[in-house]
Amino acid sequence: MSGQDQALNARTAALQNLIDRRDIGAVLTRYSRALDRADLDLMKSVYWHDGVDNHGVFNGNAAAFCAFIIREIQNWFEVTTHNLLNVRIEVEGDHASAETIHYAYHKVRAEKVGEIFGSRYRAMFDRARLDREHHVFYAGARYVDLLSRRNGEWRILQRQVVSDWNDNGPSGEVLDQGMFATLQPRGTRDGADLVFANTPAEAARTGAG
Amino acid sequence: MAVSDADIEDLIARRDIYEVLTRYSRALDRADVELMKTVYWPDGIDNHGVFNGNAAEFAEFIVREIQNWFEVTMHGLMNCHIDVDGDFAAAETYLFAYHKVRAEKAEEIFGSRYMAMFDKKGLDPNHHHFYFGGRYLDQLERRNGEWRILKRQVVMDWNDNRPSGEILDQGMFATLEPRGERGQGDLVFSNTPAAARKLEAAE
Repeated sequence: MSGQDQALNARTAALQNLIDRRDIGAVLTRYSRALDRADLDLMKSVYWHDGVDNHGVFNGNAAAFCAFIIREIQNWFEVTTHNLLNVRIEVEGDHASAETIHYAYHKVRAEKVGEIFGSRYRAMFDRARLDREHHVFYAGARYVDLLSRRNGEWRILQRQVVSDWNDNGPSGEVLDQGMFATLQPRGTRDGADLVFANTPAEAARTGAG
Repeated sequence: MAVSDADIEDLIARRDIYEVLTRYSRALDRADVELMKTVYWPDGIDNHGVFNGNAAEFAEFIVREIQNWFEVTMHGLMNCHIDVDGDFAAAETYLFAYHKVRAEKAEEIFGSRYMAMFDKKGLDPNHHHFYFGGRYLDQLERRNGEWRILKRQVVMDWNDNRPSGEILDQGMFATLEPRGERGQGDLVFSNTPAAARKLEAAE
Protein backbone atom coordinates (compact mmCIF):
# COMPACT_ATOMS: atom_id res chain seq x y z
CA MET A 1 0.00 0.00 0.00
CA SER A 2 1.34 3.44 -0.88
CA GLY A 3 1.91 6.09 1.76
CA GLN A 4 -0.97 8.04 0.31
CA ASP A 5 -3.34 5.04 0.61
CA GLN A 6 -2.24 4.49 4.20
CA ALA A 7 -2.94 8.13 5.05
CA LEU A 8 -6.36 7.84 3.41
CA ASN A 9 -7.16 4.66 5.36
CA ALA A 10 -6.08 6.26 8.64
CA ARG A 11 -8.29 9.25 7.89
CA THR A 12 -11.27 7.02 7.09
CA ALA A 13 -10.75 5.00 10.30
CA ALA A 14 -10.50 8.18 12.37
CA LEU A 15 -13.67 9.57 10.85
CA GLN A 16 -15.50 6.27 11.41
CA ASN A 17 -14.52 6.34 15.09
CA LEU A 18 -15.75 9.93 15.48
CA ILE A 19 -19.03 9.07 13.75
CA ASP A 20 -19.49 5.97 15.95
CA ARG A 21 -18.96 8.07 19.09
CA ARG A 22 -21.45 10.65 17.86
CA ASP A 23 -24.06 7.98 17.13
CA ILE A 24 -23.52 6.22 20.46
CA GLY A 25 -23.72 9.57 22.26
CA ALA A 26 -27.09 10.17 20.59
CA VAL A 27 -28.36 6.77 21.81
CA LEU A 28 -27.32 7.63 25.37
CA THR A 29 -29.05 11.03 25.40
CA ARG A 30 -32.12 9.61 23.61
CA TYR A 31 -32.62 7.38 26.65
CA SER A 32 -32.77 10.42 28.96
CA ARG A 33 -35.23 12.19 26.68
CA ALA A 34 -37.44 9.10 26.49
CA LEU A 35 -37.43 8.64 30.27
CA ASP A 36 -37.93 12.27 31.29
CA ARG A 37 -40.64 12.84 28.66
CA ALA A 38 -42.18 9.38 29.37
CA ASP A 39 -42.02 8.31 25.71
CA LEU A 40 -42.23 4.51 25.60
CA ASP A 41 -41.67 4.03 21.86
CA LEU A 42 -38.65 6.33 21.90
CA MET A 43 -37.19 4.41 24.81
CA LYS A 44 -37.60 1.07 23.05
CA SER A 45 -35.55 2.46 20.15
CA VAL A 46 -32.54 2.73 22.48
CA TYR A 47 -32.16 -1.06 22.91
CA TRP A 48 -32.00 -4.07 20.62
CA HIS A 49 -35.13 -6.24 20.92
CA ASP A 50 -33.03 -8.90 22.69
CA GLY A 51 -31.37 -6.28 24.91
CA VAL A 52 -31.14 -6.51 28.69
CA ASP A 53 -31.38 -3.78 31.33
CA ASN A 54 -30.21 -4.54 34.87
CA HIS A 55 -31.44 -1.46 36.66
CA GLY A 56 -31.64 -2.89 40.19
CA VAL A 57 -35.29 -1.89 40.51
CA PHE A 58 -35.89 -4.09 37.42
CA ASN A 59 -33.57 -6.67 35.86
CA GLY A 60 -34.37 -8.35 32.55
CA ASN A 61 -35.50 -7.85 28.97
CA ALA A 62 -35.10 -4.26 27.84
CA ALA A 63 -38.52 -3.94 26.16
CA ALA A 64 -40.17 -5.21 29.36
CA PHE A 65 -38.01 -2.74 31.33
CA CYS A 66 -39.18 0.12 29.09
CA ALA A 67 -42.85 -0.72 29.67
CA PHE A 68 -42.21 -1.03 33.43
CA ILE A 69 -40.17 2.13 33.91
CA ILE A 70 -42.26 4.44 31.71
CA ARG A 71 -45.36 3.40 33.68
CA GLU A 72 -43.74 3.52 37.11
CA ILE A 73 -41.74 6.71 36.65
CA GLN A 74 -45.05 8.51 36.18
CA ASN A 75 -46.55 6.77 39.22
CA TRP A 76 -43.57 7.51 41.47
CA PHE A 77 -42.36 10.94 40.38
CA GLU A 78 -43.86 14.25 39.30
CA VAL A 79 -40.67 15.33 37.56
CA THR A 80 -37.35 13.72 36.70
CA THR A 81 -34.20 14.86 34.91
CA HIS A 82 -31.52 12.35 33.99
CA ASN A 83 -28.37 14.34 33.28
CA LEU A 84 -25.44 12.66 31.62
CA LEU A 85 -21.96 13.82 32.61
CA ASN A 86 -18.66 12.05 31.83
CA VAL A 87 -19.09 9.78 28.80
CA ARG A 88 -16.36 7.23 28.09
CA ILE A 89 -16.83 5.20 24.91
CA GLU A 90 -14.63 2.48 23.40
CA VAL A 91 -15.37 1.16 19.92
CA GLU A 92 -14.02 -1.98 18.23
CA GLY A 93 -15.65 -2.66 14.88
CA ASP A 94 -19.37 -3.33 15.42
CA HIS A 95 -19.10 -3.49 19.22
CA ALA A 96 -18.65 -0.85 21.87
CA SER A 97 -18.64 -0.28 25.60
CA ALA A 98 -19.59 2.92 27.38
CA GLU A 99 -19.52 4.25 30.93
CA THR A 100 -21.63 7.36 31.53
CA ILE A 101 -21.91 9.17 34.84
CA HIS A 102 -25.51 10.06 35.56
CA TYR A 103 -26.77 12.68 37.98
CA ALA A 104 -30.53 12.66 38.33
CA TYR A 105 -33.27 14.64 40.10
CA HIS A 106 -36.55 13.00 41.13
CA LYS A 107 -39.53 14.80 42.68
CA VAL A 108 -41.47 12.09 44.49
CA ARG A 109 -45.28 12.10 44.54
CA ALA A 110 -46.54 12.80 48.08
CA GLU A 111 -48.35 9.44 48.32
CA LYS A 112 -45.24 7.50 47.31
CA VAL A 113 -42.86 8.77 50.00
CA GLY A 114 -43.06 5.57 52.07
CA GLU A 115 -42.63 3.30 49.07
CA ILE A 116 -39.64 5.16 47.67
CA PHE A 117 -37.80 6.22 50.82
CA GLY A 118 -38.88 3.53 53.32
CA SER A 119 -40.27 3.68 56.83
CA ARG A 120 -37.27 5.22 58.60
CA TYR A 121 -37.33 8.29 56.38
CA ARG A 122 -41.12 8.59 56.58
CA ALA A 123 -41.05 8.49 60.40
CA MET A 124 -38.86 11.63 60.44
CA PHE A 125 -41.70 13.79 59.17
CA ASP A 126 -45.05 14.80 60.56
CA ARG A 127 -47.85 12.80 58.89
CA ALA A 128 -49.92 15.89 58.06
CA ARG A 129 -46.89 17.54 56.51
CA LEU A 130 -46.17 14.46 54.42
CA ASP A 131 -49.58 14.78 52.77
CA ARG A 132 -48.90 18.28 51.49
CA GLU A 133 -45.15 18.43 51.10
CA HIS A 134 -42.93 16.97 48.48
CA HIS A 135 -39.67 15.15 48.84
CA VAL A 136 -36.90 14.82 46.33
CA PHE A 137 -33.92 12.66 45.73
CA TYR A 138 -30.77 13.13 43.77
CA ALA A 139 -28.98 10.04 42.56
CA GLY A 140 -25.41 9.60 41.37
CA ALA A 141 -24.88 6.49 39.33
CA ARG A 142 -23.20 5.16 36.21
CA TYR A 143 -24.66 3.55 33.14
CA VAL A 144 -22.31 0.71 32.18
CA ASP A 145 -23.35 -0.27 28.66
CA LEU A 146 -22.48 -2.78 25.97
CA LEU A 147 -23.60 -1.78 22.47
CA SER A 148 -23.58 -3.29 19.01
CA ARG A 149 -24.10 -2.03 15.48
CA ARG A 150 -26.57 -3.90 13.31
CA ASN A 151 -27.30 -2.71 9.77
CA GLY A 152 -25.46 0.53 10.49
CA GLU A 153 -27.39 1.38 13.66
CA TRP A 154 -26.00 1.45 17.19
CA ARG A 155 -28.20 0.33 20.10
CA ILE A 156 -27.71 -1.03 23.61
CA LEU A 157 -27.27 -4.80 24.07
CA GLN A 158 -26.90 -4.66 27.83
CA ARG A 159 -27.18 -1.89 30.39
CA GLN A 160 -26.00 -2.28 33.97
CA VAL A 161 -26.74 0.57 36.37
CA VAL A 162 -24.11 0.98 39.09
CA SER A 163 -25.31 3.13 42.00
CA ASP A 164 -22.77 5.38 43.69
CA TRP A 165 -24.82 7.60 46.02
CA ASN A 166 -28.20 9.19 46.70
CA ASP A 167 -29.36 12.25 48.62
CA ASN A 168 -32.92 12.56 49.92
CA GLY A 169 -34.76 15.42 51.55
CA PRO A 170 -37.83 17.67 51.63
CA SER A 171 -38.35 19.59 48.41
CA GLY A 172 -37.12 23.17 48.43
CA GLU A 173 -39.11 23.95 45.29
CA VAL A 174 -40.97 27.21 44.76
CA LEU A 175 -43.21 27.39 41.69
CA ASP A 176 -45.73 30.15 42.23
CA GLN A 177 -43.86 32.98 43.95
CA GLY A 178 -40.88 35.23 43.47
CA MET A 179 -38.71 34.80 40.41
CA PHE A 180 -39.96 31.24 39.97
CA ALA A 181 -43.46 32.39 39.06
CA THR A 182 -41.97 33.86 35.89
CA LEU A 183 -40.17 30.67 34.85
CA GLN A 184 -42.50 29.45 32.13
CA PRO A 185 -42.96 27.16 30.34
CA ARG A 186 -42.34 24.06 32.39
CA GLY A 187 -41.34 20.64 31.12
CA THR A 188 -44.12 18.15 30.44
CA ARG A 189 -44.52 14.43 29.76
CA ASP A 190 -47.48 14.50 27.41
CA GLY A 191 -45.71 14.97 24.08
CA ALA A 192 -46.46 18.69 24.27
CA ASP A 193 -43.05 19.52 25.72
CA LEU A 194 -41.46 22.27 23.64
CA VAL A 195 -38.55 20.07 22.66
CA PHE A 196 -40.66 18.07 20.24
CA ALA A 197 -41.35 21.14 18.08
CA ASN A 198 -37.73 22.30 18.30
CA THR A 199 -36.36 21.09 14.96
CA PRO A 200 -34.00 22.31 12.22
CA ALA A 201 -37.11 22.92 10.07
CA GLU A 202 -38.43 25.21 12.81
CA ALA A 203 -35.08 27.06 12.80
CA ALA A 204 -35.45 27.54 9.03
CA ARG A 205 -38.97 28.96 9.51
CA THR A 206 -37.68 31.28 12.26
CA GLY A 207 -34.83 32.37 9.98
CA ALA A 208 -37.22 33.03 7.08
CA GLY A 209 -39.03 35.41 9.43
CA MET B 1 -18.75 22.00 2.00
CA ALA B 2 -15.33 20.39 2.03
CA VAL B 3 -14.02 18.73 5.17
CA SER B 4 -10.41 19.77 5.66
CA ASP B 5 -7.67 17.68 7.25
CA ALA B 6 -7.35 20.45 9.83
CA ASP B 7 -11.02 19.96 10.85
CA ILE B 8 -10.48 16.23 11.27
CA GLU B 9 -7.27 16.79 13.24
CA ASP B 10 -9.14 19.18 15.52
CA LEU B 11 -11.96 16.66 16.14
CA ILE B 12 -9.45 13.91 16.93
CA ALA B 13 -7.55 16.18 19.35
CA ARG B 14 -10.80 17.08 21.14
CA ARG B 15 -11.79 13.40 21.39
CA ASP B 16 -8.39 12.49 22.82
CA ILE B 17 -8.30 15.41 25.27
CA TYR B 18 -11.82 14.61 26.53
CA GLU B 19 -10.67 11.02 27.07
CA VAL B 20 -7.80 12.31 29.26
CA LEU B 21 -10.18 14.51 31.27
CA THR B 22 -12.67 11.71 31.98
CA ARG B 23 -9.84 9.24 32.69
CA TYR B 24 -8.87 11.50 35.61
CA SER B 25 -12.37 11.16 37.12
CA ARG B 26 -12.31 7.40 36.71
CA ALA B 27 -8.87 7.15 38.32
CA LEU B 28 -9.93 9.33 41.27
CA ASP B 29 -13.34 7.78 41.93
CA ARG B 30 -12.02 4.22 41.55
CA ALA B 31 -8.81 5.13 43.47
CA ASP B 32 -6.45 3.92 40.76
CA VAL B 33 -3.12 5.69 41.25
CA GLU B 34 -1.38 4.17 38.19
CA LEU B 35 -4.27 5.22 35.94
CA MET B 36 -4.17 8.72 37.43
CA LYS B 37 -0.46 9.10 36.66
CA THR B 38 -1.21 8.47 32.95
CA VAL B 39 -3.25 11.67 32.86
CA TYR B 40 -0.20 13.95 33.38
CA TRP B 41 3.25 14.29 31.82
CA PRO B 42 6.05 13.31 34.27
CA ASP B 43 6.95 16.99 34.63
CA GLY B 44 3.29 17.96 35.03
CA ILE B 45 1.98 20.21 37.80
CA ASP B 46 -1.32 20.08 39.67
CA ASN B 47 -2.34 23.10 41.74
CA HIS B 48 -5.33 21.65 43.56
CA GLY B 49 -5.30 23.97 46.60
CA VAL B 50 -5.23 21.01 48.98
CA PHE B 51 -1.95 20.08 47.24
CA ASN B 52 0.17 22.16 44.86
CA GLY B 53 3.12 20.69 43.02
CA ASN B 54 4.38 17.79 40.94
CA ALA B 55 1.54 15.82 39.36
CA ALA B 56 2.89 12.33 40.15
CA GLU B 57 3.23 13.33 43.81
CA PHE B 58 -0.27 14.80 43.68
CA ALA B 59 -1.57 11.49 42.29
CA GLU B 60 0.02 9.54 45.18
CA PHE B 61 -1.29 12.07 47.71
CA ILE B 62 -4.85 12.35 46.47
CA VAL B 63 -5.51 8.67 45.75
CA ARG B 64 -4.37 7.88 49.32
CA GLU B 65 -6.22 10.75 51.02
CA ILE B 66 -9.45 10.46 49.07
CA GLN B 67 -9.86 7.01 50.60
CA ASN B 68 -9.07 8.33 54.09
CA TRP B 69 -11.46 11.25 53.82
CA PHE B 70 -14.42 9.95 51.84
CA GLU B 71 -16.50 6.79 51.60
CA VAL B 72 -17.70 7.66 48.09
CA THR B 73 -16.87 10.35 45.55
CA MET B 74 -18.20 11.22 42.12
CA HIS B 75 -16.34 13.72 39.95
CA GLY B 76 -18.83 14.68 37.25
CA LEU B 77 -17.65 16.72 34.28
CA MET B 78 -20.06 19.04 32.53
CA ASN B 79 -19.22 21.95 30.18
CA CYS B 80 -15.96 21.19 28.43
CA HIS B 81 -14.43 24.05 26.47
CA ILE B 82 -11.29 23.04 24.57
CA ASP B 83 -9.00 25.20 22.40
CA VAL B 84 -6.36 23.38 20.34
CA ASP B 85 -3.38 25.07 18.71
CA GLY B 86 -0.93 22.59 17.17
CA ASP B 87 0.62 20.42 19.89
CA PHE B 88 -0.75 22.56 22.71
CA ALA B 89 -4.24 22.95 24.09
CA ALA B 90 -6.14 24.71 26.84
CA ALA B 91 -9.30 23.33 28.44
CA GLU B 92 -11.86 24.62 30.91
CA THR B 93 -14.07 21.88 32.34
CA TYR B 94 -16.89 22.39 34.84
CA LEU B 95 -16.79 19.98 37.76
CA PHE B 96 -19.76 18.91 39.83
CA ALA B 97 -18.54 16.58 42.54
CA TYR B 98 -20.15 14.62 45.38
CA HIS B 99 -18.18 13.55 48.45
CA LYS B 100 -19.52 11.39 51.30
CA VAL B 101 -17.28 12.21 54.25
CA ARG B 102 -16.18 9.46 56.65
CA ALA B 103 -17.79 10.01 60.08
CA GLU B 104 -14.42 10.35 61.85
CA LYS B 105 -13.18 12.92 59.31
CA ALA B 106 -16.13 15.31 59.47
CA GLU B 107 -14.44 17.81 61.80
CA GLU B 108 -11.23 17.80 59.74
CA ILE B 109 -13.13 18.37 56.48
CA PHE B 110 -15.84 20.80 57.56
CA GLY B 111 -14.30 22.55 60.59
CA SER B 112 -15.73 23.29 64.03
CA ARG B 113 -18.31 25.96 63.11
CA TYR B 114 -20.10 23.56 60.77
CA MET B 115 -19.97 20.64 63.23
CA ALA B 116 -21.42 22.76 66.07
CA MET B 117 -24.62 23.21 64.06
CA PHE B 118 -25.78 19.59 64.42
CA ASP B 119 -27.45 17.71 67.22
CA LYS B 120 -26.71 14.16 65.97
CA LYS B 121 -30.31 13.55 64.95
CA GLY B 122 -31.72 12.75 61.55
CA LEU B 123 -31.54 10.12 58.85
CA ASP B 124 -27.84 9.32 59.18
CA PRO B 125 -26.53 11.54 61.98
CA ASN B 126 -22.89 10.56 61.62
CA HIS B 127 -22.47 11.23 57.93
CA HIS B 128 -22.21 14.48 56.03
CA HIS B 129 -21.56 15.12 52.38
CA PHE B 130 -20.49 18.01 50.28
CA TYR B 131 -21.12 19.08 46.74
CA PHE B 132 -18.37 21.00 45.01
CA GLY B 133 -18.73 23.25 42.00
CA GLY B 134 -15.54 24.32 40.31
CA ARG B 135 -13.50 24.27 37.15
CA TYR B 136 -10.43 22.47 35.95
CA LEU B 137 -8.22 24.88 34.01
CA ASP B 138 -5.80 22.69 32.11
CA GLN B 139 -2.85 23.19 29.82
CA LEU B 140 -2.11 20.12 27.72
CA GLU B 141 0.64 19.07 25.36
CA ARG B 142 0.80 16.39 22.65
CA ARG B 143 4.04 14.40 22.71
CA ASN B 144 4.57 11.51 20.25
CA GLY B 145 0.88 11.68 19.36
CA GLU B 146 -0.38 11.46 22.95
CA TRP B 147 -2.16 14.23 24.85
CA ARG B 148 -1.58 14.65 28.57
CA ILE B 149 -1.89 17.44 31.12
CA LEU B 150 1.10 19.74 31.62
CA LYS B 151 -0.52 21.91 34.25
CA ARG B 152 -3.85 21.74 36.06
CA GLN B 153 -5.27 24.55 38.16
CA VAL B 154 -8.45 23.88 40.14
CA VAL B 155 -10.71 26.91 40.60
CA MET B 156 -13.43 26.64 43.27
CA ASP B 157 -16.70 28.41 42.52
CA TRP B 158 -18.90 27.07 45.33
CA ASN B 159 -19.45 24.27 47.81
CA ASP B 160 -22.52 23.03 49.66
CA ASN B 161 -22.27 20.95 52.84
CA ARG B 162 -25.06 18.96 54.49
CA PRO B 163 -25.97 16.06 56.73
CA SER B 164 -26.15 12.99 54.49
CA GLY B 165 -29.61 12.27 53.10
CA GLU B 166 -28.56 8.85 51.91
CA ILE B 167 -30.71 5.72 52.20
CA LEU B 168 -29.13 2.42 51.22
CA ASP B 169 -31.21 -0.28 52.90
CA GLN B 170 -34.88 0.78 52.63
CA GLY B 171 -37.50 1.66 50.03
CA MET B 172 -36.51 1.70 46.38
CA PHE B 173 -32.88 2.21 47.33
CA ALA B 174 -32.58 -1.31 48.76
CA THR B 175 -33.02 -2.60 45.17
CA LEU B 176 -30.28 -0.45 43.67
CA GLU B 177 -27.52 -3.01 43.29
CA PRO B 178 -24.70 -3.24 42.43
CA ARG B 179 -22.96 -0.26 44.00
CA GLY B 180 -19.81 1.39 42.80
CA GLU B 181 -16.50 0.23 44.25
CA ARG B 182 -12.95 1.42 44.49
CA GLY B 183 -10.43 -0.86 42.83
CA GLN B 184 -10.75 -3.35 40.04
CA GLY B 185 -13.94 -4.94 41.42
CA ASP B 186 -16.09 -2.15 39.96
CA LEU B 187 -18.16 -3.44 37.06
CA VAL B 188 -16.73 -0.88 34.66
CA PHE B 189 -13.42 -2.72 34.40
CA SER B 190 -14.96 -5.78 32.74
CA ASN B 191 -17.15 -3.63 30.45
CA THR B 192 -15.31 -3.75 27.12
CA PRO B 193 -16.14 -3.95 23.40
CA ALA B 194 -14.91 -7.58 23.56
CA ALA B 195 -17.58 -8.28 26.21
CA ALA B 196 -20.21 -6.83 23.84
CA ARG B 197 -18.97 -9.07 21.01
CA LYS B 198 -19.10 -12.13 23.26
CA LEU B 199 -22.60 -11.28 24.51
CA GLU B 200 -23.93 -10.81 20.99
CA ALA B 201 -22.31 -14.07 19.79
CA ALA B 202 -23.99 -15.93 22.67
CA GLU B 203 -27.46 -14.86 21.55
